[in-house]
Amino acid sequence: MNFFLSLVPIILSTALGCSLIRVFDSKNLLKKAELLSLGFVIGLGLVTWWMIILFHFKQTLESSFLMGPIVGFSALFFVLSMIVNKLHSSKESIHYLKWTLSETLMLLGIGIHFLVVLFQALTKPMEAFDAVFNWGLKAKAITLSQALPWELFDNSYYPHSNYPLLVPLSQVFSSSLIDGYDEFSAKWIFPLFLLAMASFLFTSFRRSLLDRKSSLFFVFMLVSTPLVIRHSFNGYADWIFSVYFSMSSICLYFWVREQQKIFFFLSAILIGMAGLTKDEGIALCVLQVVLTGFCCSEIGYSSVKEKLRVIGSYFVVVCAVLFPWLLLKTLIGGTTHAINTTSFLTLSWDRITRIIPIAYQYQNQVFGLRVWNLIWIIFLVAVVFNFRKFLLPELRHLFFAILGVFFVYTSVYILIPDHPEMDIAWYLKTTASRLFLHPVSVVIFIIGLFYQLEKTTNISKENKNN
Amino acid sequence: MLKRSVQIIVALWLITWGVLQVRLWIKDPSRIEKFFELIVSSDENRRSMVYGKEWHQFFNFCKEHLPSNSRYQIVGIPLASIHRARLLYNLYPRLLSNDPEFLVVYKKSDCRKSRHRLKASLGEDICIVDLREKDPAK
Repeated sequence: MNFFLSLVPIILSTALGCSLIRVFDSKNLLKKAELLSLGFVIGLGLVTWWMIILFHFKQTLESSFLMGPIVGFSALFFVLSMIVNKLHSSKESIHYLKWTLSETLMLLGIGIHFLVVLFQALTKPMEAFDAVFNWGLKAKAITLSQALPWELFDNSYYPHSNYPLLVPLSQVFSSSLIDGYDEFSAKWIFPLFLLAMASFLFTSFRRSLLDRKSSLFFVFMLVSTPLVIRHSFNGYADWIFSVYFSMSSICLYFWVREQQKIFFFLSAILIGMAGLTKDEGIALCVLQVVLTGFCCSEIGYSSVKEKLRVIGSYFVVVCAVLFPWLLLKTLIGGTTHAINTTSFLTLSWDRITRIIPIAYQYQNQVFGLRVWNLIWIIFLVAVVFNFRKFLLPELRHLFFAILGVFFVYTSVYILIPDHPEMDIAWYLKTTASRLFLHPVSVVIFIIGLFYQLEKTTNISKENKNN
Repeated sequence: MLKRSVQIIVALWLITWGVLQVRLWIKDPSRIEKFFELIVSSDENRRSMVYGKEWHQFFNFCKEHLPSNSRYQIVGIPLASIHRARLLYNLYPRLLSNDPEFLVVYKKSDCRKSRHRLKASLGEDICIVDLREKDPAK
């Protein structure tokens, strides 16, 4: 019973997300699958944002404070979206093409992988290290107390008190109709994030005019990657973080391509929500703001004033999403032991030479037989043999986003101060695989776009020859 | 050239994927059986299967004998151990503390050595000691 009851709040938050997006998507640009996947991830982010606001006002998470406004705003946005969409009505044309055998098999493969992930998530208790020591523990504590668990935050035996709260709060929200805390049904959100990313990636490929068979194959690549599968049910925040970052980058790409404001704002909201999910998100927010500035030139904003206005708008949306959390983080206190002021003050040549073990660990993550990161091998081969093509306007923004992630994370590994128990080898061993997880959907998307670009170039060459 | 590269990539991907699936089967033939057993089991059985019977029994023993909202300290489980993290998670809202009311002893001789009252024990070397009360016999 709890399994179904914990789905109800998720459906409600998805309705909130969808109706909000529809209000701003007055031109009906988003397809239904895009709307649903974006609605799900943005809806949960909005609920988290609202719960943080409630904490600021010292309110508990009782149903009337939590569910009341969410139901109210969902209804309001729904009515508004109906009005807006009536003014600019455009019907989505659907062409049903017959499914070929290879497409059916790929769809079946995707379905089987999703079902395996779903069952693994719902039948296993919280067991992985960070799930029980950080995210799941906080979810349990907040669900039981319906407030911030200060007894955990003030206790040095329970670290990471000031880590972002999107993952625990999403679990708390999905448990809001259940008595107590059910660690099994609290894990619904993890496989649903996989489903959301898979359908968003598929529709993004279709939006980029890639044929259905290839789109399905690229989605199959994503859902059959062991690293993605493992993180879609283990209760960690990394896959959810990866989804927010990837969706934000892909939306920014569509803003450059289609120059529709809805993608610009979606990108800003999504990257802000990545900041609500993991600390690394703050660094990636800065990266996206810089990339937005770069994209301005691509779109053709020539004057500095115009560029500043666009970057400023992006920055304001990101800040609006992040601000309540950053304020709460200062109230909670504590320092991040990996990056703090001493990290910068004690920076020395010795730490720069860490680049050697870092590079070794990176190649291990790509070529190690046990990790099977075939996506990264394909990406590397494509980049090495076609470097110039990745700098073409069609691909360069996404390419820079991936490079940016590597730059940010490598800098963090260099900045981490020496610690007797947790040296750089320990950090690399425990976290490097996640670096290869965070941009994985963007990597698949850029490989798909590169394939599409090559295909089009080949066709036009053949036409010329004829 | 492009068509050939794509064919190679698709073939490589599907072969590796297939090999990995088969390897999982060969490595642990009972994998599928365990998977279905997880689906039909009760929540407690699932915990037992995932944590291991012994640890699950130990977690339940602690939950049963430590009062809710009490403070405790642990002896015998290494700091970085996954089992310690799972114990902390399972015992919440009971909190690990510098000022404990109870001592959770796991496979250590402290059970017999302690001058405080033994609250409960599970075998010879697993026990909970009540640090608030001295044992009059010692």
